[in-house]
Amino acid sequence: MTDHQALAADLVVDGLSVAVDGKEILRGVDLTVPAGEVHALMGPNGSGKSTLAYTLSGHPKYAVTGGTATFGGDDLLALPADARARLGLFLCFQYPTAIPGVTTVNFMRAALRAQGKEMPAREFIRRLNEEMAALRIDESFRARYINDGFSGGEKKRAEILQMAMLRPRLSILDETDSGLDVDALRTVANGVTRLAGPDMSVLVITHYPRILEYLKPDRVHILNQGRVILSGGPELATQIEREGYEPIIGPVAAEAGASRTSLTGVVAEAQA
Amino acid sequence: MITGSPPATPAAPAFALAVEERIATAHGWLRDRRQAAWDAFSTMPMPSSQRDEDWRRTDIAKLQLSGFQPSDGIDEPLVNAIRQRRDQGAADAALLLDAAPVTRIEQSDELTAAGVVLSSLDEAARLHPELVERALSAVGVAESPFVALWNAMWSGGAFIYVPRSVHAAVPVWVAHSAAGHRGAAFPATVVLLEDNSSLTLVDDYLSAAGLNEMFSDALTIVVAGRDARLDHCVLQQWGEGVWHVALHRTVLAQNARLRMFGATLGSRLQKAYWEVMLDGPGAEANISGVVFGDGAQHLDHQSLQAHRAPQTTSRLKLKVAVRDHARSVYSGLIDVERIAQQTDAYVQNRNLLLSHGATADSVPRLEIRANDVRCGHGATAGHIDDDHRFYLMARGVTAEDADRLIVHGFLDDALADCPHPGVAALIGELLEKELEGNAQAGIAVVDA
Amino acid sequence: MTVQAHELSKDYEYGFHDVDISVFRTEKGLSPEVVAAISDHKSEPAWMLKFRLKAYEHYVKRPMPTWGADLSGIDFDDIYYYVKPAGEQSRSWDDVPESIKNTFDRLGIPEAERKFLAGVSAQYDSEVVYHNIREDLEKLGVIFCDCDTGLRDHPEIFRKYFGTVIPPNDNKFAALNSAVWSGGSFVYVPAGVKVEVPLQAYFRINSDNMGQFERTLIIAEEGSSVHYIEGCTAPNYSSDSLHSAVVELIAHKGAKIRYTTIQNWSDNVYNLVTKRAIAHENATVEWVDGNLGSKVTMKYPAIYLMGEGAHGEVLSAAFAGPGQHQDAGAKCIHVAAHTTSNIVSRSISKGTGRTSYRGHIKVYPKAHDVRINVRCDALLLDEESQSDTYPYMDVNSPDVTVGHEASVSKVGEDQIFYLTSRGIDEQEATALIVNGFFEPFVKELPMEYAVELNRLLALSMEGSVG
Repeated sequence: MTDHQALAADLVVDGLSVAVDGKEILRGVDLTVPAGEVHALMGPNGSGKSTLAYTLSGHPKYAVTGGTATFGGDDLLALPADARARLGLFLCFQYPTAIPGVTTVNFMRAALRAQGKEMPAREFIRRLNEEMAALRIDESFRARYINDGFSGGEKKRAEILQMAMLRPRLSILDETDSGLDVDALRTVANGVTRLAGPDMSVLVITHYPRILEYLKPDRVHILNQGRVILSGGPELATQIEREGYEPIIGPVAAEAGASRTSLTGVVAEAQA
Repeated sequence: MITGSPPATPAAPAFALAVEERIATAHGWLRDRRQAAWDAFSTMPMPSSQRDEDWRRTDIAKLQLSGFQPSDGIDEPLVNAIRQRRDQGAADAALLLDAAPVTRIEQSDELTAAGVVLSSLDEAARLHPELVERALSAVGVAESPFVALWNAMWSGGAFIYVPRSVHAAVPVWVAHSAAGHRGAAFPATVVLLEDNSSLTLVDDYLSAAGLNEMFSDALTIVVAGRDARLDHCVLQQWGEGVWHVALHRTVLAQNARLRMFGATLGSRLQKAYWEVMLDGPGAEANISGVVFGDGAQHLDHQSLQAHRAPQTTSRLKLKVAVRDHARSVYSGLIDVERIAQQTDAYVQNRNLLLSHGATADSVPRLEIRANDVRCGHGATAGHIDDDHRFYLMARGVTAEDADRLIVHGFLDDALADCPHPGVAALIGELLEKELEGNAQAGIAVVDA
Repeated sequence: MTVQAHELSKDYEYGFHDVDISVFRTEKGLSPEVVAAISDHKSEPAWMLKFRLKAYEHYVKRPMPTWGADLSGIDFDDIYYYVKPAGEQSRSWDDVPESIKNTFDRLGIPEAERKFLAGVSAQYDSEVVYHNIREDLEKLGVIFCDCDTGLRDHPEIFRKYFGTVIPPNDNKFAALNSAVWSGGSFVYVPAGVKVEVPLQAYFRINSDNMGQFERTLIIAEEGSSVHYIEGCTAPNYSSDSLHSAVVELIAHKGAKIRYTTIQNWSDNVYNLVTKRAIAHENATVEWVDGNLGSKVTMKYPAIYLMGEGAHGEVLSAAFAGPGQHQDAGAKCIHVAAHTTSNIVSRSISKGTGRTSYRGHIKVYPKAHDVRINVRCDALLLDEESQSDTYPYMDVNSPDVTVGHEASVSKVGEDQIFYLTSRGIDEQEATALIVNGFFEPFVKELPMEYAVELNRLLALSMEGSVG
């Protein structure tokens, strides 16, 4: 079993290609998230961001057609979803699934047990209460069924609660900011920053730069048409906030190759 | 062992004579089929509400077949009324008027020019025996006493054949009618759609308004090839003395698609089976219907969605409004065979009861033997919501008008599924007349 | 013994059996003589013997049902219809014969009684070997005993209600039970008395080729309330046993009866039970009906809502493992105005298991202002699993609101992925989802039963994935 004191580890994605129902979505993604860093993955709608998140987490619908992905040297792609989670991977879902009849408490205990992080009932309840308070989650959620009848904001906070309880080594946040108002966004972002650091790396997938003001990424990657077409520092997010994606990726109809040339100039200009 | 098995149906002497003649004039397989059907019918008891689950809620003990004789055509005023109705619903449609013993065919040139075969079933059995045999094989010779009787008795009838990749440019309107006191009709629609063809078909059952007791034993068989498309409207507006027993069966091959819409307004008693066999992967059926019953009408619909191949989809929605002492019976089965993985099937039956004395029974059944499926059903029964009525009345609408609006709205939701806009408009008008409360079952015939 | 016990099934832990310590049993098969012998052995009054013999005639005359589950495996001539164990009925476990006491110890009955029950009745084969009720309840006039004792010690109440809800000619198996009934429970709650903690009956079959025909009659007088729980198990034998009970409930004005069943017969038992309640004015009847065991179950708890304002609830859960057929359901018959009912059914089929929901809703013409809700959901775990839904709705009154929804599906792929993405393996994820699916049922059980049920489910689910 994984030692839950373990530090974060490197995520290395190399030439990853993925098809869904026979249609190629990712076409050779290269991406490295070194241990303990916070990286952002940005890109317009349909660029393949969520596909990468699901693929790294092991959703059976996403068929890997090429490339590799390792976490701390372990081959992720060879493992089923639960084994990846036990390695310390955590996916914060964009649309968390409701599981009627299964209470949050029972679910968390089962997950902790599965990951070899079981703790005495008293300690479990104490920690759960602390984390819930920090995330401003009402106590009644303990006995509510997972995501069943939750509002959009409640679901996102419940995801962060799970992250806080499970203490993963790498969290992938899939559009966690979507559908949140400013206050909820701040609460959720604070929840993540509290955990991020040497114990947990973060890959934030987002369409909008706003959440990055809180999460302060070390690096920002732009995904377009199934490839990482540009990587840079946090200033890249600022630029997108100011100018949108178009200056970087070119007009929507443009080929990825073509936009790559055009964007080099734009970035050079922006950095000048 | 059942002891003292129930007696066979007392056959109408007039039927026996007619069958004898039909067997004598038929050849080969058809002759054998008629004979086998008649032999079977002669030994089969009539369905009983005590013995037969299908008939538990529909009692036809009062139907005495021995008093009936085959209907012998219809008169010209009724023919004109039928033409007018076709004109109202789909003026461009070819008309097949099935009023045994003769089937008239009108306005069919455009379709025949495209290679579509339109003829009486009699003629088709002579000219295209292999096609007719292929279509008829979708129904057993003696699945039930009424199917056996039909197989022995039918004459005239309508046959439609659409060759491969032919898309019938205009609808085919098949009107089934009969007349005469104690007249019996055996309406027949037999359709073969070859691969990748398409057709819009209207089956219209109607007789003059009035109390004339008649008996209609109807069969519609559609066999649709790969990628074929059928839009099928079924209108039932028999007069209020008519007993109507019908089987509508559509067999769909791979990726074939059916859109069916039924409107049941007429008859004293109806038992109609609406069946779709999803035999090929990817086949899809959408079936909707509206039912309005009043007076002492008894309207029974029994549906079957038989999923016999993977990735098949079916939907059925039946909306029923009953008034006075009318009774609606709906029973249906979604039957998913082991092989039919990834089936997606749903049934809904919504009933609106408008008076004390009106009743609605609903039995939507599921039998599922594949596990990777999404199947379900919903059934409701209720009355007009007082809040809805109040809301409309608060805007100045009278209580009667409010109710009419509400019932209309309730049925409209299904009417929107009718695949032919002209037919939908016609049915909308017929429903309006029913709701006004002075419509008799059957159609008004003005003497020329 | 002609039949040998085969090895215990892996996931059925109650399949053990004691050596035969019966002191009296009728010969195999059924005849008027056997019926008379049972009555004679019990020294019953003449009217009961007459009742039994008349019921026997009905039983012989009625054909086997042609619908529902396959009952062709029952050999009615190869069954002992009455088996009396050693020992006399007792109020103290110490007086129960050692081997029988050990059996109930293994089933945890005396322990549960100490912890949270107001009264316990334990039936072993045909007779109740132990029964007890808390003294304070007894002082309030609450009666809780087996039906034989009810007939003997409370003849006037007993005779007034016995067979009135389910007459002997109701159906073939009700007729059979009426002819050969023995044991079961008789509960009488006087007006205004609320029995806050549950009464429990436990039914154990020990003999092979045995028919158990307990008879239960519960009467709740005006404004009273009672919760009755029954559990049952049997040894695994290679030959089949038959369990055919009749349960009659009468809830008078404003009374409330809840009847909870955890059916966990071994998979060689045919379980064919008739359960019916009458709810008078403003009364509430709740059937909480869980079916996990048996080879075949046919059981459709019914509520006749006879008085205005009456309310009925049926909460049904069924699990059919390989080879099992659970044909269960509910009936709510609305005779009076302002009555409401709610039916929730959850069923799971695993392996070649088959679950069927069979329900009947009927609203009589004079019953206005009626509300009915039915919700049935089925989960299919394997390719060979099967599920059927047969809901019958007869609505003869316009002033009603009836809703019925049903669904059949497999465990959602997205749900599995969500749970596995938190590190839970697929088997446990499936078990969690299945438990969650049964939650509406489980949360209505007393805590101890809920825990036990979840444990039984987990056992049944083992090895269900890859």
